[in-house]
Amino acid sequence: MTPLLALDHVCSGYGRIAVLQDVSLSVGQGQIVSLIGANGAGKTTLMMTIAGMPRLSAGRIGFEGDDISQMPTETLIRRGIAYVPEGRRIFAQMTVLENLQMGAYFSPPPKYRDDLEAMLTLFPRLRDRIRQRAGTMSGGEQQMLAIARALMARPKLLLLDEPSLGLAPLVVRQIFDSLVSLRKTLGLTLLVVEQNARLALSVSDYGYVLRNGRITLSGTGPELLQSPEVQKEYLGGGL
Amino acid sequence: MLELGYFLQQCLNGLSLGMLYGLIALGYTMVYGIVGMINFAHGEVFMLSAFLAFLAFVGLQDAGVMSLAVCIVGMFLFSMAITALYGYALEAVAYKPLRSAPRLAPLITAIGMSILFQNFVQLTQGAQVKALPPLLTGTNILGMFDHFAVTVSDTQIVLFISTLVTAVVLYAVIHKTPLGRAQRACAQDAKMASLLGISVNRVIAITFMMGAVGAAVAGVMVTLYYGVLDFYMGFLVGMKAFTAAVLGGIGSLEGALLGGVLLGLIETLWSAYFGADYKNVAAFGVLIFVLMVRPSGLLGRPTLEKV
Ligand SMILES: Nc1ncnc2c1ncn2[C@@H]1O[C@H](COP(=O)(O)OP(=O)(O)OP(=O)(O)O)[C@@H](O)[C@H]1O
Ligand SMILES: [Mg+2]
Repeated sequence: MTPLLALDHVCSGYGRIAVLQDVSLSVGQGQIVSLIGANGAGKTTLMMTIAGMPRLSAGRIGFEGDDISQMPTETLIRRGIAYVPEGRRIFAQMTVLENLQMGAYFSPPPKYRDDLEAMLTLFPRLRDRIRQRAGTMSGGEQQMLAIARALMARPKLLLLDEPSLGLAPLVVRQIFDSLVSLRKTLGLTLLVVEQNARLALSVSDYGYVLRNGRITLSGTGPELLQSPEVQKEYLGGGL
Repeated sequence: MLELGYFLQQCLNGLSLGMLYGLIALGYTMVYGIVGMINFAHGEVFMLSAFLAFLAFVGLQDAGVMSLAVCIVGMFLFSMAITALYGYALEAVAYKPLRSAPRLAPLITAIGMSILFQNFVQLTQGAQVKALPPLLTGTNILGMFDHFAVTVSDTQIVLFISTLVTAVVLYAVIHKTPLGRAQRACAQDAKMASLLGISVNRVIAITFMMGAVGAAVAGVMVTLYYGVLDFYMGFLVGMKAFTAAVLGGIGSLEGALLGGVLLGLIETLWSAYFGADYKNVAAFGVLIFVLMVRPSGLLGRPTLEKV
């Protein structure tokens, strides 16, 4: 079976600055795959390259078997890739509701209403603040909004870039639990970049380690958790 | 000279002029608010729209259309539609290729496009002034003040109504529709908007077209109100409208109208009491004063939160 997302020997960067070198990875339908790596390893670049900004300089990105590497960002997003960016990037001047509506820009109204209800049930905090300007919410609330906004598009593949950034451990746990349950209910596939490698790998089917723009290690979640390299560099020494 | 009636009449005339400035200022403010740039060729878009209104009128007359109402509606529709296309073309040719260029580059192309539009109209329409007889000749007496009749002309009534309708429609589009949400989203974070599937290029093109439609309403109204057109008229009016937008707080639709009305009032009242010689000095003097006291303009809000 072809994987939902497949990167083949992808190189990418910014102008003359090469960041990703020969990166190959695949994400199967319904899987949770995590990507770990140090600051500056190129994790965000990898996620953004999938979304077409920047565009890859070599290699191929396949989505549902089709080559998407030259498609404009808007087209890829409409084909079912949603992105929760690093640092949330919610629309601060707009209300919570308007942010969610932006996520559902292409949904027909009945679908939109159901999805909105589902998101407000998943994140009850957002329901209480539906008319509030998004920029005045707490960091955690903004992160929930960023995730909900992405899910409003009913993506097939959700790209999550450091969803735990600045959140209390309990909230992070809740968000991961809800993502795992969304995978079951919506058939969602997830590619997650996470600093909290232990948490990410513990819920992942598969993981990749990115170092200086190259994949240096990959394996199932438990395998990586056991690996000495991962333990030493990403799990903060002994368990 | 100091009678109340005279003063009120001048206020009414100033309000009319101000609404023309305001209509054009709407285009400056929308493009600035959503795309973050000043479209310095906007004054020429206004000039083009006035000529288009004129051509529509001549065309309708040639076609034997007698009804004045039909003529005026025809002028509005024709000028608004074609001016919107000019707005689109202007953006596509002069600004879109420079999306990621340094900020000064689109300023230069704007000047280039301005000269192009002026010369184009000069070549195709001739350099001499075009004049149209007043179409709407009715005036209505609002009241008598010490034997001075304060009047409002039918043209002024059409101007007030069309300005308010334009402003309300633009406001409603920006604040109440999915397109407007996308416009505001692009204004805040264009890259994020495209990560949600929004075609930022299309949103920007539509914004330019909306601004052009506002200028077209002004162009038609100038044709009806003054009836005098020349290929150079876009420059000073464009500068004044830009001033109005800055005065009101650039980025704010209400501010554009308020700034336009203030500028129109200052200019008209100054001319009425002190002569027309220094009216532009007065207008720009007020701008400088307001910017010293309130750098973001009257209704402009200093950006509060930047995440
Ligand atoms: N817009 C840009 N222009 C030029 N270089 C960039 C740009 N964005 C990132 N880089 C560079 O690319 C490299 C990889 O950055 P990237 O943001 O992908 O890292 P990351 O793995 O996401 O790091 P972090 O964990 O800190 O988020 C860095 O060296 C960075 O300086
Ligand atoms: Mg990153």
